[in-house]
Amino acid sequence: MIGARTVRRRSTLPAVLLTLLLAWLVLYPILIVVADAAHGEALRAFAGRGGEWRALWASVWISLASVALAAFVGVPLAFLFEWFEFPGRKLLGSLIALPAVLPPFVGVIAFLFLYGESGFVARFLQFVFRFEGAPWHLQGPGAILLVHAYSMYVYFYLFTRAGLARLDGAMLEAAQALGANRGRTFLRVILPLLKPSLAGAALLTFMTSLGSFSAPYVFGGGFRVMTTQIFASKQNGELALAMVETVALAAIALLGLALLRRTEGDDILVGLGKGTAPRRRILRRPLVRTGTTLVGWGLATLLLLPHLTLILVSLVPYATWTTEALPPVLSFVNYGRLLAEPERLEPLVNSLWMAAASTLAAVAIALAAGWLVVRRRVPLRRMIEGLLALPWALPGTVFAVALATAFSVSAPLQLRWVLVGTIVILPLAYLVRNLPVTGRAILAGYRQLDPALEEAAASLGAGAWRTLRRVTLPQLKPALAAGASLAFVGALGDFVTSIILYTYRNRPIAMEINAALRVNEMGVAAAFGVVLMVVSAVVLGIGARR
Amino acid sequence: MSAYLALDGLGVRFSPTVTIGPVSLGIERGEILALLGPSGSGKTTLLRLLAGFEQPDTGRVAIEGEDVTAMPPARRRVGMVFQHYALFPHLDVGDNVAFGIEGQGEGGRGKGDVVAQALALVDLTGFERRKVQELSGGQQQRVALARALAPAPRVLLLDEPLSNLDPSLRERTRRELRQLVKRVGITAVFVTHEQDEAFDLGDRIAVLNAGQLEQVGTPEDLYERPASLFVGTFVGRANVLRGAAARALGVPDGQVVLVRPEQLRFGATGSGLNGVVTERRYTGAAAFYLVTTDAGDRVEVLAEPGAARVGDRVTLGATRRLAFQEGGEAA
Repeated sequence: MIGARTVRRRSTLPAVLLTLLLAWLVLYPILIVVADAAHGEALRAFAGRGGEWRALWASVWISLASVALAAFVGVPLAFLFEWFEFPGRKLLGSLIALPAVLPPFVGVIAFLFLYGESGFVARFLQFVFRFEGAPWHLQGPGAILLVHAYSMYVYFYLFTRAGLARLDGAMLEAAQALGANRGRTFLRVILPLLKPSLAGAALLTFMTSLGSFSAPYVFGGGFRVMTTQIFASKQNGELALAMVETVALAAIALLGLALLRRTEGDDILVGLGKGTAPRRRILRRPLVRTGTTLVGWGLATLLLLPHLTLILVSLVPYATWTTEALPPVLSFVNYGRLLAEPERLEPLVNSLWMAAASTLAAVAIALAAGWLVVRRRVPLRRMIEGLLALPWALPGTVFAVALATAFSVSAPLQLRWVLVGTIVILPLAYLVRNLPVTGRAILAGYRQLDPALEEAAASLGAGAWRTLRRVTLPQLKPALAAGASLAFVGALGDFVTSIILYTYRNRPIAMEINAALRVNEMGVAAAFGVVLMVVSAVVLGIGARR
Repeated sequence: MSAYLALDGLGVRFSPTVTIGPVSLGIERGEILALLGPSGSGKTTLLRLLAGFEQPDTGRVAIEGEDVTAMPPARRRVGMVFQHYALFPHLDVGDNVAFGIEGQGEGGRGKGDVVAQALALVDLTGFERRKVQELSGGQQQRVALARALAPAPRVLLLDEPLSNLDPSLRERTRRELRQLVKRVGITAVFVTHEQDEAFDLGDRIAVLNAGQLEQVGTPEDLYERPASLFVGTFVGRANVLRGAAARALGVPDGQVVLVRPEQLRFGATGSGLNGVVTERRYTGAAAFYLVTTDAGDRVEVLAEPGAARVGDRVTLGATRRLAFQEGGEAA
């Protein structure tokens, strides 16, 4: 009893320490950027140049259009896979959710190989219709939107499916019994009940799209959104301007978050959700059944085609594929090169250790936060949770610039050290980026944990350590696995922060892919992409196991 | 097919071993029919066939002589109260009740009046703008009822209407529900697995077992004249005796005898069923006695509290008994 008392009293100190650590990691760098941005000349430059405003507006409208397009693809897909039974439904249903969890940069290059100017589709059309040059330029806002829709539909797909699965089938029958036809049932009952799910998906798509860097970087051409604009300013050495741009993007992100949160509203389904989801429709008429199956398979293939393309391109040796519609030679030589050439193996090793290190740190912080926020009556609980979630609300570019700014100065009294150019900065950036997802998973796990279990352990004489090791951690295993796997995959495939903070010595896979693309080593780039894809899928698979 | 609501050879085949029906049944205008049966007996499926949520493989359903078998639920004009009510959580009480009349194209003042009337009927006047989540279970049930009645359906279907309520509330609600349905005068069919509920609420009761209709009748019919051994044991308490025990009660060989606890009497030792009182359960007005017969059967007897004591050696005689063939049909 006395032991427990002392622990409870002492929890204030750990809470304060954790809050300070989090504030230093996620808030302090942002504040430094804000302070640096309050720079008269840079502000004038920002306000005076039309390009800045265009980029800002582009970020906003691209994000809004991405939401619309992603909903257009994802919502019907969710209905198809949730409501109709056809052969292959289960497998395809989970496969088409994959693009969201695979590294965005991998998705972008896969898209390039499929729909780019010298991609499969273009070559095929060239071959069939004997065009002289490439039939199109995959560049500009249209290309960016296409990539966004192609990868972000998953949010709408998953959220809508979850919403539909929670839907009480009796609601739909009640509407029918009251004389409502299908259209009215959809508009008056299904849609309002799905609203929380749709709003959640819209928010996620908007935020992801606003922070999207890979797609505008690869496909933007002369068209700039805010993330690429910041990157360009930084490359041009206009650091003060980059700060102003960063603050502007951060402000837009927070504004968007606040506005969309408000429309989200509370989850009205919770109060009355007692029934079971409507049964899946077994299609009896053979024609309808065949048609639905074909549509399901067709859509799934279309959506997974870029990733399949990536696998194919990774099998094409260097300089063997020139004008043919299909690659003439296929071999595993590219994979051999990844392992045999030291300068190729290095980024692989770099990515793996940096991802592992940042994941470990994120899990440790999230565990400490979970213990303090859920189990202890400590002050600063909301503060800790808020700081953990903050990086989610801000685009990766913002954090990369903030960390680059905060840790390029040696001022130990201000808690600033020169970390840029060292191997520490990237794992640190990954850690910051992953805190929200790891934190959310582990905090949720902690909340589901019955406190009586820990009390039972204590009543049986187990001390704090033994309780943690024998009771708490084993119970938290699913949450830990989920949080850790998401963090690891996020760090492994990161492109947006890496491109701003990497050095040659610790260059990660994504930067090596970028370099390989530049010298036309498509096969090597694709092989790296496949490695990222496979490792990510395996890690996520392990993380999702119960 | 002159009944108001007629089921004619209605059957569904879920798999070679699981089938429901064929069920033929007529329900008169204004009658309340209870579908009673153990879980898995097909009573809910039968109700959903009437509503149109399930399609029968054989047979037809007719309302007022009109064949509605192929008609979608939205056009049947059949009201339904769902087990968990299925109130729309995003609409308030008034909009929930109005949902069914909006579809009929009645707008403006008329709609408000109908809603107010329906709510008054269930004693929820002025509840229009309440959120359904804020209501108690009993109030939610009444809103569901008002919503189903508002479009003036031809038939009202209720799926276990009282199962979601507190036991203390059930008995009162049962009476109120019956009064209300009778006042409206609507033809109603409801599903229940509780005999008390079926007896209290239904004019007639249809007993279902393993997808088959066993018997349709008034509560008295079912209790006094069960058509099968299943009905005899499912409706009310009953002792089932075979062989020597059955012979001791004067039933010929090869038949099964069914005796209700109150139809057994303690008599002087002699002819009858001999045994020892092994348990006594006092209920106030009477007591249940468990008698273990010399052959090892356990028989329940309902008698006056002072009729016997535990350990007494007794002989049982029957004032009434029902004999069945071993197959289950009444003999």
